[in-house]
Amino acid sequence: MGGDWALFLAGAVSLAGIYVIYTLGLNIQFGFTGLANLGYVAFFAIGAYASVILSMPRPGPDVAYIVGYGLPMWAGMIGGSLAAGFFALLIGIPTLKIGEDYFVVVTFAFSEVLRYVLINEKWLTNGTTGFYGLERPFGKFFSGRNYEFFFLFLIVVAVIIAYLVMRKICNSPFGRLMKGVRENEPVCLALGKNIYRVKMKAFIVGAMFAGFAGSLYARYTTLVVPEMFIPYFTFVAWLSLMIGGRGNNKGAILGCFIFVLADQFTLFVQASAAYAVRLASLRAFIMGALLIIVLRWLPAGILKEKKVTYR
Amino acid sequence: MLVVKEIHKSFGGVKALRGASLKVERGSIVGLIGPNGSGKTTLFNVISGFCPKDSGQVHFKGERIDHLPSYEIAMRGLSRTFQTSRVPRGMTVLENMLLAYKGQIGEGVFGALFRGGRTSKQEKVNLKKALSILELLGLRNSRDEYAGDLSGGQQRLLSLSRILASSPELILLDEPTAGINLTLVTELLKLIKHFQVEESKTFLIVEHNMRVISEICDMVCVLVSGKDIACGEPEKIQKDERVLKAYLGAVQRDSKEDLE
Repeated sequence: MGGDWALFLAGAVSLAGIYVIYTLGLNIQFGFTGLANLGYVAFFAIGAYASVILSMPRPGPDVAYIVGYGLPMWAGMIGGSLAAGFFALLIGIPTLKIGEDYFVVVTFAFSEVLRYVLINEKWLTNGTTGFYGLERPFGKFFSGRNYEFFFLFLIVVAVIIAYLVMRKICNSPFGRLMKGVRENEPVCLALGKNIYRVKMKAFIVGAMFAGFAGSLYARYTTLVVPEMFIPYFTFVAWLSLMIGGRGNNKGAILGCFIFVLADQFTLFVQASAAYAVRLASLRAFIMGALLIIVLRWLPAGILKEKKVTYR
Repeated sequence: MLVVKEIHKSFGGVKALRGASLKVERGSIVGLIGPNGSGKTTLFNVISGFCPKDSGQVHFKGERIDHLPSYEIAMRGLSRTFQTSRVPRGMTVLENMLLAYKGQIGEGVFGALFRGGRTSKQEKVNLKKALSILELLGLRNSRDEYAGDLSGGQQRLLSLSRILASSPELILLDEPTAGINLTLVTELLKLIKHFQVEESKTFLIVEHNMRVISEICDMVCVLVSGKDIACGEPEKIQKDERVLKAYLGAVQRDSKEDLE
């Protein structure tokens, strides 16, 4: 029994870790630069799909999809991240110049359109069936149970690297510039800053984090289907960020763990099958309540943005 | 240094500027005055690229700049402040200052990630410069306070310090003394004079306060209904008939409205 708990915990922490990388990307977009990306899940989906498609075996005569590049898994993950960044560039070109409202609408629409593309372009994505039974990184070296712990280890390493990279970016003059753009665009313009390029960079870096998280998520669940990438997933990142503290990378981490805890805790409650359904719908209620409580008493999130001082 | 020729600008049916022209010599302080709604701020917006003109030309250091985006104009050494002091509220005074410096290696993602050594060297140099400017403007003790927590007057001073940090050659100040108490105004005028003389900066100032104008401006231009009606030395302008008519006419109309 104790082993099961450990296994469950390893799975939950792995998931939280993936969410951390995902939410760090939204933090650079919204927390630092003020880009309210309501279609954030799109870049998660692009990362997941691109990484899988790039590393799927080349198609034979008996498969429905006709694209597969047979690259190694790590190359697929890098490709997934780059693909997400590339799509951010495409979306950013028309939207970042014209104002916040348009950006919000276009990003949300993009994530929904993308999901229908994933459903309908069967040659590329295998439609609603998607890809399943995906290989996991170093999967052949570990037996079933042990693998979960190894995967957790991989995720922890990935989270540490992602955090350090993000911290370096955010503590740099570029981080200050992003905050400047968020706080006051005219002032930045009057100082000679090309705010369009700043937004674009933040948007692309954030999307690349989402893409990387997506490629990890595909290996975590061992499948990708269009229904995984509903708008709910955008709000996973938003909720985690608002609860944890926007503009604070540690806040993003904390928020993700709180989110996973609140999301998974209903599993701890012993319930009959009939009640289990009700419990599941209780999750959304708990999330909402949590968000309201945090925003009412800690409007900047649990961990506020840190004051920057120079010595 | 700055030559503005025949600028026209309409907002819908309102003709804000009807052929406004202006000249600013290097190293001078030029005042721009005019009744409310005469188009002073619009002219500022056009010159600094914040607002596209309908027709006319702006030349800066011999080059045409009226087609350039605002940040490009700022990069060439023409910076401005805003009428309502705008500050990035969620950033500290020092962050505000360090934001201003041009050519920062660490302001790109690549530089931030891989050029750490040169970035921190640059930061050190900029920090030193920033602190000396803050010292001069009396903001050094507030260095780690959020700009949003400063008083209105201090925010104005911060806007000015920030602009000075970005090392412009020509500075456009939009009502720098509005909402600042008299002692501070005197200080501010001294500072502007200081930067004109010591650092050979050029200023174009929108101002309502005649004392400010007559005290520091070498030249004054008067804008009425979007057209420059007179330019000259402050003493001459104060006696210019057209100017008196425009101003006194406006005053009379105002007092009449008050009575009604």
